[in-house]
Amino acid sequence: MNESSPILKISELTKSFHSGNRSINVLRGIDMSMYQGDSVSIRGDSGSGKTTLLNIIAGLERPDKGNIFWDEILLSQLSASFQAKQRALKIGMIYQAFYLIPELDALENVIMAARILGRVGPQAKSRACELLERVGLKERLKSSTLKLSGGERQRVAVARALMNAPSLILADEPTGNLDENTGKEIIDLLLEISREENAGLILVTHNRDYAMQTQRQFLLHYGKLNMGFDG
Amino acid sequence: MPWYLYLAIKQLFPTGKRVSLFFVIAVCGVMLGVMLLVIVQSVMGGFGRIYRDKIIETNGHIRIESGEVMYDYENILNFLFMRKEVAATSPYAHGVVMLQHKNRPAFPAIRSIDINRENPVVPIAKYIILGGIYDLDDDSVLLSSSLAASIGATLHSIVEVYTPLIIDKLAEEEVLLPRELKVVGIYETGWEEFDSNTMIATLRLMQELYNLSNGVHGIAVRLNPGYDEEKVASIFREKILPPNELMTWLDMYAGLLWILKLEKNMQFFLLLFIVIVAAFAIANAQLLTVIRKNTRDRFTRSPWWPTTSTYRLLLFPGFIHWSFGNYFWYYHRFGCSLFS
Repeated sequence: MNESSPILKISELTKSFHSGNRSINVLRGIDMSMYQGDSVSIRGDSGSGKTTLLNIIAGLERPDKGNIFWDEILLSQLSASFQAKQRALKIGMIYQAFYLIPELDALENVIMAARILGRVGPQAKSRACELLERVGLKERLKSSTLKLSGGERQRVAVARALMNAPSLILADEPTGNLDENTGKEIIDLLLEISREENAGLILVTHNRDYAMQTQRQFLLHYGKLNMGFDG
Repeated sequence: MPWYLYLAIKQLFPTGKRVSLFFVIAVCGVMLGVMLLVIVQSVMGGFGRIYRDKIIETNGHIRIESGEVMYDYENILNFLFMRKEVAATSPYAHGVVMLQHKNRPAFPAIRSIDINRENPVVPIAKYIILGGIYDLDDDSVLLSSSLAASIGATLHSIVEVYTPLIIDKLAEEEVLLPRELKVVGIYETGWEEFDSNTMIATLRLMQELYNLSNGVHGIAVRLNPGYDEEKVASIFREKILPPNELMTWLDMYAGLLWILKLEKNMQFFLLLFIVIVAAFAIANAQLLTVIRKNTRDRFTRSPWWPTTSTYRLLLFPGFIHWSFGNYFWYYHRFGCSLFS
């Protein structure tokens, strides 16, 4: 892969859901490319298919048609286990509901992402500590995630998403469970840290102000991804 | 350590907590299931052992009979005496008689013992509850407890014994009077078959009652500990030739032993199925818990690993419960045996 090759390329992506005789076309021919350090926001109404699009990009759902390339590797050609390994290496995911493991403390949650790739040891621990320090949780490394505030949990989730130095971060409404100030802090942190790590960022959000902070803005409307705020 | 095992252990022993209640319940479930199986198997094995001991103590390990009266049994006794496997031998006679005491009749099986040799083969002395074996002579008998109770006989009672020989003599127009014998002992072995309706007389008295002259009906053999009766019997069969037949206690009581084995197997299978049902219940609760956790913590559901790894994550807590359940059961068992 050279510097100018895309870290993500989507072409002619379609996806529909069937309910009885009804067919709902959620995505109708989506095309998009992303390069290292790019940041993109996707807005859209509830149920417009934003999360479905993120899941397809992450390889968690299969599209009906179209191709997805991670660093010029065609996703559909990978076996499930290899795809999972590549996903763990190349993609970091952040969710609205954090999805931290309550049995583990903050540090263990972050290390878990590396542990899955078999990377356990002082280096992994040092990287996790660094990331937690970077997101402002230096004093909470050993805290149970149940004792952290919403904003702190999302910071742990950000650190976890970055643990394996992914080339792409997918953030699915990361501020949905947070108050406005905390949400703003998280978005700022996410943009800053993804820039530092030179990772691409796809931010799905309802918030126009947050979306404005990314380099490119898209609106998902009737299954089409339109550039700009109003399509 | 693989991550799924690490996570499975963490789900059972969360950071900052000791042990989850679910873990304790699941381990106790496995422990109780295994314990139940082992206890039932032990109890059934114990029954089998008790039956075995009773049968051997009242019959010996091997019996040699020819189907008719044996007169040249001394050769066989000499052969057996030379064998290292043999602890004791005793020639015997047995049959059925009519017994009467104060007009109360009974039809017990009568067995003879040679009081000079019998004790090591059939240790009847240790089962005497009234009287003593050393008072037994050619004018006396020992009665089983149930038989004595059924005819109202007790120690020193005089009982009348009618043998098949009386019928034989009647055919020859001779009248043979019943033999009057004194009860010198009452025994109870705890082996129902033996206690219900048997009496014991001396070998000389039996030979007289059955007109056997110096003959016997068979030879009882007791083996030294550690010898397998089936193997020993097959070796002896090469030397003790037909019409003499060797029967081990396993052959004699094959029906009873089959029932015992069947009962043991039945109980094992019934309990096994109960344990399997219980295991499914535990597994079900466990899967629901793990799935709920992993759905809640979507992190574990997908982005970082393939579905097969999630299955491993689901299975490992069960494996850990199973291991701990078995471990605690054995630990507990050994603990019990140390204190007992």
